[in-house]
Amino acid sequence: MQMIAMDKRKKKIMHRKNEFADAAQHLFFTKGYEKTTMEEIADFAGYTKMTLYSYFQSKDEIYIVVFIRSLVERVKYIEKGLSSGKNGYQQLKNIAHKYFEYFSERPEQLKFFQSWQKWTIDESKINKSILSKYREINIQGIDCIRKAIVNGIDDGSLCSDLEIDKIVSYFLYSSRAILSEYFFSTHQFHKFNKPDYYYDYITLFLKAISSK
Amino acid sequence: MGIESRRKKDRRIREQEIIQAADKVLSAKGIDNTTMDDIAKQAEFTKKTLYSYFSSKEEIFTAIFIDLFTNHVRNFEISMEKQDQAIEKLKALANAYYDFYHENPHILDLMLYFDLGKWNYNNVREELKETLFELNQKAVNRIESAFQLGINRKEIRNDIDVQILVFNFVTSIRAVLFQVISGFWKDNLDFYQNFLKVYFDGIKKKK
Repeated sequence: MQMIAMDKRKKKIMHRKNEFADAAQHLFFTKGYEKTTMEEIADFAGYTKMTLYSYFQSKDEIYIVVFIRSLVERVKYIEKGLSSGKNGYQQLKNIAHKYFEYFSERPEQLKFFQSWQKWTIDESKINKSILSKYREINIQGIDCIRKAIVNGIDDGSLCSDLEIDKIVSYFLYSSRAILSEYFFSTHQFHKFNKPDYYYDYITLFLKAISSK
Repeated sequence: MGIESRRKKDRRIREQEIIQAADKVLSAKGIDNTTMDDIAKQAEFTKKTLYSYFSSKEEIFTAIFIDLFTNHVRNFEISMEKQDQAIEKLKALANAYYDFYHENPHILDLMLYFDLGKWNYNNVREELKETLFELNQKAVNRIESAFQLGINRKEIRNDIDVQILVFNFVTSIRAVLFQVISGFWKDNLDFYQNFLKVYFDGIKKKK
């Protein structure tokens, strides 16, 4: 009996946390992180600020939770890419394609993500277990890309002299920037409407590191 | 000198003073925290006087960007001209980009602002928008002609649209430079050089 009561309570907490995270996500996407206040998040979710603070100690913390939720989804896509290629080269290519698929279904995530290139949150205002959960899931995604590259070096589809850490970073940073340009460029006086803009880049990137 | 041209000249001098002051505030405080008050204080003008020259923060930032970017375009044109090979021209360009962002790290923040569509162009006067447009076009043309030269001479692959090459190049080197200037790979110039090696391997003509 007690177990069931605990489960119910846990479920309720999870449910409420998600409600707050949904509200926060909506406000971050529409107003921007800086301009959103805890009061507004509580209000939007239909609770008092006090209730909100009993679930999240700071805006930094609720931000990380929103971020983790999207990262979990993204990592699923990346894992699918990794598991579907016959060699490292193909795996990396599939990851790049899945990455595109993920963001084209929810471009607002990319915009939010790009605005956080600079890590400006205060880690001291975030529960340690949440921070370690963030690091864990982040590493999980990076590891998929690393695995594809290591596989490619092992199976001979990628160059043998690659500096793996750097290649992982180039792949992530440059493909993300190009996606962002593809989805949002407003300043550029050129607008690229075709996904070629992204896929051509991936083609040349892969060509550069492939063994052939 | 007529009264009219004297006025114009005075105005131009004042505007330059404001741009320089705003550039200082921007490097110190970042985009989000820079206010018109700060800029007025730094330039030693009243806010009212400041507004008679620039109608908004965005307008001043656009002017700053134009100033710095004009310089950058001039620099990379000179260093590209010194090279014969297309790939060498592009390497010279990539090095000029490093110098540009390294000397003006706050420009990266401005670029990010542009990218995210946070830049409100409604607050920028037509004349500045046109200057920015022309400058951007000029830069794109210079870079495009280097890529085109490489394609014609079979140094560079011909299966990718040349304009896509140009924008991919500028966007990807900026993303990597962002990491070297203020991100995870801070001050690691080797990280950038190695990226360029990878990139140029990717665009070279298939054997």
